[in-house]
Amino acid sequence: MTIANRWNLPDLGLGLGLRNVHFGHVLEKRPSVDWFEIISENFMATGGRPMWVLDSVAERYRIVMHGVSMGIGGTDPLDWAYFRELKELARRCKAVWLGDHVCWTGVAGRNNHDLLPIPYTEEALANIVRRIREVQDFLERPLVLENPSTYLEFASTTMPESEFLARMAEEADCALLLDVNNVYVSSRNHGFDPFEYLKTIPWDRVVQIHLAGHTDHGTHCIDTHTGEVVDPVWKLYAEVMRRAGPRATLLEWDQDIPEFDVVHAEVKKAERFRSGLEVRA
Amino acid sequence: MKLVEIEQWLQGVITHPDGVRAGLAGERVVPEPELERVVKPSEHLSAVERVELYSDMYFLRLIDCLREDFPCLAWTLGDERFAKLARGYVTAHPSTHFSLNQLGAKLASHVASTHVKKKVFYGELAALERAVQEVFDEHACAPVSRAELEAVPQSDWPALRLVTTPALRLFAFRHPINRFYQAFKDERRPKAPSEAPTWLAVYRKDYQVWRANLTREQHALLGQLMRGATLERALEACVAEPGFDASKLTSLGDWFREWASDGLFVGLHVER
Repeated sequence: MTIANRWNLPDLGLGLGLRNVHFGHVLEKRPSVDWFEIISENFMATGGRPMWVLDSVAERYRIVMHGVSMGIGGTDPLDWAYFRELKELARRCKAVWLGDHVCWTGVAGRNNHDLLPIPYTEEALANIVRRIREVQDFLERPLVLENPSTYLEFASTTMPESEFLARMAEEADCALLLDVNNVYVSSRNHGFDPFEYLKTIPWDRVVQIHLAGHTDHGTHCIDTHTGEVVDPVWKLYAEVMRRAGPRATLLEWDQDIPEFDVVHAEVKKAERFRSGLEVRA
Repeated sequence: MKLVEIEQWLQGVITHPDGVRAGLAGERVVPEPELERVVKPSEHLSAVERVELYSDMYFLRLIDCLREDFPCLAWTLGDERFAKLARGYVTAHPSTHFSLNQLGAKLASHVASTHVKKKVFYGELAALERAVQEVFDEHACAPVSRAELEAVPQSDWPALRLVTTPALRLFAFRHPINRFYQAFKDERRPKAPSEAPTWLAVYRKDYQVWRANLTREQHALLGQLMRGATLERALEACVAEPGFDASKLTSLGDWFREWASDGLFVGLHVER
């Protein structure tokens, strides 16, 4: 196991998102997956079978929590009832780490259930840093925050996303989850060089990598988490491995989810890059 | 614009029920001609088109979520009518909870407030599908076993207060909703039924959701117990109800054995 980040958080190997269509397979077949990532909110407002499944899975596998509703880049007051429940879930499933996205999800009490873009400005940076620090104090652990896929850019933005992430991580002392597919999708949507983006990332703060498929509409790409990881994303992943060394890597597949073995086979493709057998960059 | 103003503006525009252009038309902070002052165009998309991506995804995602939670209602209404209903619903009742599980919590009452034909039937269907989800997600409680119930001395039964499981919902419908719903699940393509009163319990046992048809009398008694009445008080209230057939109470013992087997009770206390 490689230790290569400032918190000594482990390289968990190759993981998969735990999705309800695979609950039966995971419980019955006990596949040789290194770890599972859960969508935190899917287990926060339920006490029935999903919690029973999670308890069972957590007995055999390491669990990482990845949320979609934290709204850490938002401007509404932090929802402490949410964070209390999040902390309790982390305790219950012995989450190795937990995180969410660099985004906002709603304002004026609403939740749009989307990862909405923030302008990369000094004001937005100060706002998110203050909120991350407050949340980390409460959770008593670093947040692991992911770069989102974005489909618009604000005219008021004053710095590249990668610089925003680096400064945010440094000033808030938080960890990063680098979604390689998101880097690619956003680079296509905004016309930047994804390899240049990687040069600014503080690798000692990156504890996890995401891989996924997306939908290419020609004029833009949407992060749909469907299908296989495309070759340009594998090339970026190879570059990430070259720069950072092996990191806990997870495949997301959330639309038209195929049977478990297909998803598992897709994430296993990452092994050759993790072990340095193939460098495509 | 300050960050909070940008967020309020973008949310208002992408969730506008008539689309982004309509949202921008009514927008004083950033009207459409000035949009590029806030959102950059890309090489291939205008600023409006980029904002529309978020708007389209907002409605698609939430309507899909409701379609997944209310499959029978969606099938019965048809794709177009359901999408229209769902769009109106998320506009009238935007989500305020972190979990999408809560999105459809008010759909049944929303249906009742619309001008949809057969809205009572559709509202009852929505209520049943919502109950199935709520019961699925309720917190687990250890049930009182049939043996524990039978161990209560007969002399204590009048003062017995039975705590029902939180994973239980009771319904008095004006239509045979459960029969219709089961036919849908069996892919028998049922037709909307005529009015006929029915009573139903939706509950969870061993992490599975079950639906049990009840008699009017069973529904009345379980309802009293759910509200916290002792058995004696519950029976008194039931027999005072119009239409309650007290002769059915001869089966009372069988009812309780069945309900205990189904895990409907999670606590019992004798009032002293």
